[in-house]
Amino acid sequence: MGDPKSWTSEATDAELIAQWHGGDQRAATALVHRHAQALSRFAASLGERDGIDELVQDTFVRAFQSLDSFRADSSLRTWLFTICKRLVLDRKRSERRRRNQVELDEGHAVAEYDALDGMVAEEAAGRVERAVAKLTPLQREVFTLRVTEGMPYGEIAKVVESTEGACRVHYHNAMKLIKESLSDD
Amino acid sequence: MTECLNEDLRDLLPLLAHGSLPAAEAARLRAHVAACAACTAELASLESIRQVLAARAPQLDVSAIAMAVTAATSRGTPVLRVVPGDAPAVKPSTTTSTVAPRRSWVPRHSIAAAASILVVVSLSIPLLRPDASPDTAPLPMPTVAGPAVASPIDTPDVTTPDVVPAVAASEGLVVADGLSDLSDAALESLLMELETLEATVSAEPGSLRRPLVATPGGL
Repeated sequence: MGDPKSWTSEATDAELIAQWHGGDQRAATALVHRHAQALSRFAASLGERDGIDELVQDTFVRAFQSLDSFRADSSLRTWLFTICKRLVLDRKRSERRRRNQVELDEGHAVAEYDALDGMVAEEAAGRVERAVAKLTPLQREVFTLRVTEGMPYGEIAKVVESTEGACRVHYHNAMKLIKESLSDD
Repeated sequence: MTECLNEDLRDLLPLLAHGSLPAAEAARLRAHVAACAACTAELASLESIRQVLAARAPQLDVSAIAMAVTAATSRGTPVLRVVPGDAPAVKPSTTTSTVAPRRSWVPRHSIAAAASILVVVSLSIPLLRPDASPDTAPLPMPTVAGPAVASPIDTPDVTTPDVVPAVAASEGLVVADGLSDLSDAALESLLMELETLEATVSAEPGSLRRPLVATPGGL
C-alpha cells in the first residue's frame, strides 16, 4: 500500500481500527489525520489556547492505548472528544492546584474565555466570538459540537454527559442568545 | 425576523451548514430554505459562525502528531487499560491491566492483631512485676476469648459475660482482665498507643499464631 492518505481515505474508522489491531501503524496515522483538526476545534471551544497540539497528541495516545475498550456504540470521534474533554479538565485542575486555587468551576472557565475574546482583531469575527462567549460553558460546548462538527444530538449527549433532549434545548437556547447578541451589536 | 415554525427542519440547519446531511435530505432542506427567509438568514449566520469558530482553532502539524502518536503507541509499549464501556481515565502513568492494584492501606486483620497484642501486653505489665502484691493484682474478671486476627468490627463486647465459656475451648488470644477496670487516663493512653501502632504495622506478627494466655497468677 502507498500513501496512507490515499488508501485509507475510503476506509471507515472501524476498518482502520481493525487494521491497527492487526499491527498496521499506518492506520493510526490515517485516523490522526482524519480527526486531529476536529479535536483542535473542540479543544478551542473548551477555552484552550495553549498547547492544543500537545493536547491532541495526548488524546490520540490515550485513545490508542485503550482502543481495546472502545465500543462502537458511539462514533470514534465522539469517544475522542470525551477523552479530550477529560484531558482539558485535568489540565485545568492542575493549573488551579499550581495557583493554590480551588477546584475548577464553570465561572472560572467563562472568565478565561471572556478575557481572551478581546484579542479577536476582525470585527465580524469579534462579534461572533463575543456572542458565543456569552453562552454558558455547556451551551457553548453543545452549540460548537452541533455547528462546527455537525454532530447529532445523541452523540453530543455522550460527550457532554447529558440527554439528547437536553442537548437539543441547549442548542436552541444558544442559537437564540447568539442571534440576540448579534442583533444588539 | 421571526423564526421558522418548522422546528424539525430548522434543527437540521447546522448539519446542512456542516455538510453532514445525506444528499437527499440536504436537497429537501435546501428547497425549504430557498422559500423561507428566516431559515435563509439562520443558515447564513450558522455558516459565518462556523467559519469563525473553526478559524479560532489553531492549525496543527498533523503529520508530526501522527508520528509522535505512532511512536508512543507501537506494540510492545505498556498499554493502559480502562473499565470497558467508559472513556479512558486520564492518568499520568501507563500501566497494564495485568498489574494488580497496589493496596497502600494496612490489612484490617493485621491492625486487629496488633491491637490485640497491645491490649494483652498492656494488661499484663502489672502481672509481670516482681513486686506485684495481691493488693495491687487485678481482681479476677470475666475473660474474653476471640480469634487472634479478628476484625475490630467482629470483636465481641468485652464486658459481655456470655462469651466466658469460650475461654476454655479456645486456642486464641485470651485477655485475663477487663477494660472496664482501666482508669480514664489509662484508657486514653491505651487508645493513643493503638493509634500510633496502626500507622506502623505492616505485617501480621508470627507470634500471633501461638496462643497467648495471661492470668492473674502470671505467665
